[in-house]
Amino acid sequence: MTDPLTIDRFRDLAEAYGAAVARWPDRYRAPGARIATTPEGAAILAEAADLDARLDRWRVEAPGPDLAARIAVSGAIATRRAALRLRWWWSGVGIAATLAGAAAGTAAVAMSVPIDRGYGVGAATDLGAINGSTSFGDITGSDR
Amino acid sequence: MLDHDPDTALLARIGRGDAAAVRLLVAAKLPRILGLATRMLHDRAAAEDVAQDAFVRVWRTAATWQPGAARFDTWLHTVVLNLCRDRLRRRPETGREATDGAVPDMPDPAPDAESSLIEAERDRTVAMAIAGLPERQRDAILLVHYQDLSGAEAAAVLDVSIEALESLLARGRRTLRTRLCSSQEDDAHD
Repeated sequence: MTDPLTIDRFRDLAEAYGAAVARWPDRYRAPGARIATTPEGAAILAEAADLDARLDRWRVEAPGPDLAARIAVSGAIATRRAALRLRWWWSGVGIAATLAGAAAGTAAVAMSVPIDRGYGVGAATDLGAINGSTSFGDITGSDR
Repeated sequence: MLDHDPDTALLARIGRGDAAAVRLLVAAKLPRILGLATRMLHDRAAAEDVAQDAFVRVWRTAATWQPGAARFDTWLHTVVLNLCRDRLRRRPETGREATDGAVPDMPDPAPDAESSLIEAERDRTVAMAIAGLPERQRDAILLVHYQDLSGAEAAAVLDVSIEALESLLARGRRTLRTRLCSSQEDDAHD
């Protein structure tokens, strides 16, 4: 929805943003350009343009090539280091993830292998619990 | 509004350590940054320090820049404005004197020495008139007129509503019109 642009609002905008309607908020540009063609609108813009021209007299020297080069070199070094640190961090995460995956895989294998035949990681303990014999001998003392 | 931030792609390249993207960003932003800092501080060496500090913050931020929160250019202007304000606060007594007495940077010298002097004097008159404004009016004029920020962007940098920004601009421009017109009349009488 577009607000109707009154001549008072047109004056407010010119007093705030200056005579360049292109600098005004988007929604006022088209209606502003229309009012600018009227005698009253043109007079308001002429006054604003006069101040704009005075302000434009204050120019600032462009940066020298040395400053730009200095900043670009320091930036290239800093960002390369930061990128390498980021890659190093991600590779660390990758290694950690691999190790965690390996550990999880081992645990999964251990849990999935049937233990009643005594082939599993926990087989000795389980068998010991059943008949008291382990790889170190009969812990129940039955071989004494 | 924030969907088409033209700097986002460049920042992503910088975040990956792309030296060519670094050079492009410096070429695009340094003149704007230095212009704002010079107009705020009236001290070229200090303005160059501010520009370098601002870019250090850019390099730190590039890899983690999140598009959408704010336009990069708006964020950068906020950084520069804050760095300049810090410097101005650190020199409360001498700052104002330096501001009032400083001759702004000269444009390229004109072939004719007299016209060059006249031009420098006009620059100085405008610079002094703007330096004499209340801080927020000065900042609003610098951001909108000289940095060419939109009203919404300048309002975001100054952390005010659009209405408040327009009020700052209008009051600032009214004061400037009075000061600059009277100084021109003084010149005409001399």
